[in-house]
Amino acid sequence: MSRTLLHLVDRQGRHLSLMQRDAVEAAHRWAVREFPRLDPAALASWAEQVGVGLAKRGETIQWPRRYAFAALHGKIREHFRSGAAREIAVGISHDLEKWVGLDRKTARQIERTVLFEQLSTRLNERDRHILVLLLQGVTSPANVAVALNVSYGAAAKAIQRVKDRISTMLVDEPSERESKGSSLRSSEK
Amino acid sequence: MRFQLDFLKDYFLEANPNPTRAGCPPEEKLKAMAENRLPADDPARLHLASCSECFAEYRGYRGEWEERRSARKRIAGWLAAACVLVAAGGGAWLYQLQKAEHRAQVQLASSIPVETRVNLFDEGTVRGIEGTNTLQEVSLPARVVHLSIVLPRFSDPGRYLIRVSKDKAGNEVVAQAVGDAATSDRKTTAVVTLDLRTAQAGEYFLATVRGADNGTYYYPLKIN
Repeated sequence: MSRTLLHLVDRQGRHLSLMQRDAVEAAHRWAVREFPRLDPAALASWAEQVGVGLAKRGETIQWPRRYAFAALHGKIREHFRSGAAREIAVGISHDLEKWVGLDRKTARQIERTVLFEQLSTRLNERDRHILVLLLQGVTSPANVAVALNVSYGAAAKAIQRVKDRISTMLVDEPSERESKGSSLRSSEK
Repeated sequence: MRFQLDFLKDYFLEANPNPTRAGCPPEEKLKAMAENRLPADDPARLHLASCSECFAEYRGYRGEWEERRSARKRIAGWLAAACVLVAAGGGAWLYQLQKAEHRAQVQLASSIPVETRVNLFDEGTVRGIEGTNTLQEVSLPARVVHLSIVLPRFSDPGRYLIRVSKDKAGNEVVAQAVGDAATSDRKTTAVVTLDLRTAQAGEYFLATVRGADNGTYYYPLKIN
């Protein structure tokens, strides 16, 4: 995979220090890896902006790497929130219709938001701990038991429960979820 | 499953913003966690579940560590392949060297003529290419032979051509040499040196051609 060469300079066009450059480049590499569908040019541009910000606050920033990650991550989040990546190709009525209407990306974004909401509400703190341990590669019940300070059996059951909950959430069709939601609402009434 | 993992990763990257970085472990700890150097019960591991910033940093360190590891593996693979190639090349070279030495030794040994004697004195002969004699097969080694042939009874002394060929028509001659036959003790013996090193093991004919009248006699021959 080819790497993008970043032009990392401050406002006066001076090169960033080695530590600052390493920090920005590490954050940029991470962003490229984590968000492969994002426009590489946009990512590079944001990383360079982060570099400018880092140089500006050079004295006050204790951990440049931490700053670079947080700043670049913030820019990516902002980009997702604003939906600025949506391509607008206006010219024929079909394109216009697509633009005005709900495109696939927007639908996916909504779906994602709903799922995140569900994860936050349906999973308790222990479930989230287990999930984050699984994502760190701590997958055996023995290790999870040590991490959570519970018995082996309890850890094994908890892992299974989390997996079941996640698959229930992810496998359900949106329409199914909607109908479940509406039935829940009607029962509440 | 891949989708699920990506999705969960995205969830932890977005769901728990912690802009003030409250309770965040130091960078070194995140790095150690990414490189599997932190014990499972370290509280920093669970902190990632409530801090998207730390989760992002952890992912950054993890990705770099995995890249380094795969690069190391790739290099190790290339080194192993290079070692195998060098070993194979060295082995082949040594084999060729030994083979060449062996061949040289064999050549040297086989260039020294081997004294061989063939006694045809009591054998009946059939002249010309039509018949075959009743001689029991003669064996010669595939080497340089210093051959003494006791010619059949009543053979005249004089110049003889001794020829080894694949057939009686004299085609595919393997070796031939001219030698003088002398009579002693009523036996006529011709002595020649034949180079049979190029001959494949198999059936041949040994021909004696008398120089005076070109009379040719054939005897079956086996080269070992």
